[in-house]
Amino acid sequence: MVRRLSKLQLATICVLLLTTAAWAQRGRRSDDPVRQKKIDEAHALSGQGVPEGDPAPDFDLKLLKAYDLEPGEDGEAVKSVKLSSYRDHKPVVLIFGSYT
Amino acid sequence: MVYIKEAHPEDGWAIPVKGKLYKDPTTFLERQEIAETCTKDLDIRIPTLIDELDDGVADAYDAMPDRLYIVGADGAVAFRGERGPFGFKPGLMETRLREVLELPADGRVLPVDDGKTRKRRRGRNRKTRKRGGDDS
Repeated sequence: MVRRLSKLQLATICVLLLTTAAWAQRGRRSDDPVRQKKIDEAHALSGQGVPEGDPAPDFDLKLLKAYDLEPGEDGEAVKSVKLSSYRDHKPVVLIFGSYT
Repeated sequence: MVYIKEAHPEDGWAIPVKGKLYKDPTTFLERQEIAETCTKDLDIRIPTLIDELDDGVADAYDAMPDRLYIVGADGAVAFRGERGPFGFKPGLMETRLREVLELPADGRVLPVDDGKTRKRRRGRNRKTRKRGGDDS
């Protein structure tokens, strides 16, 4: 006689199946080596970010709003910001986000 | 602020903002326009950078959908917040920032010593009033 599974047991089995499917999908590699490298790097950091104490990845991004940023050495308004330019000067707070 | 990839675009897990849906930008200019709308609507008054369309910086910091970091003056990460929305905790970051800036933890803001504050003199040069009311 087949024992009926409880709702909890059914839910557990479903979760395990989904997890297995996701894990199997993760194992598939892209044919594009450049894209696959980005995926590997993203997965390596997935959910962890850059650990405290590690060097912060440098970037040079275009500035949308300058507000109280000091002008550049030539006196012109700053159009882009390089993170490493603040090294040995002051700490920097990074707030990542989007409108949605 | 570093403006990154939309967390809830129209063609993804869509969530409207003020009743309007936004498509995930396909050009840098489109991302810039949404960032412009964002900073105006939310009255954001801090320098705002825009991540490139390849999301390189967002990926490097694993920043999606939102995240807080403090980078120390030595170039190392001094604070790494958890990923948002539930891990986005400005209060935690503020506490750590106070430590980094060596500010009091109780929220006091120390006056800036600009070298112009006159210090009160003590000792023999200090003028004192004679007791007894007699000025002789």
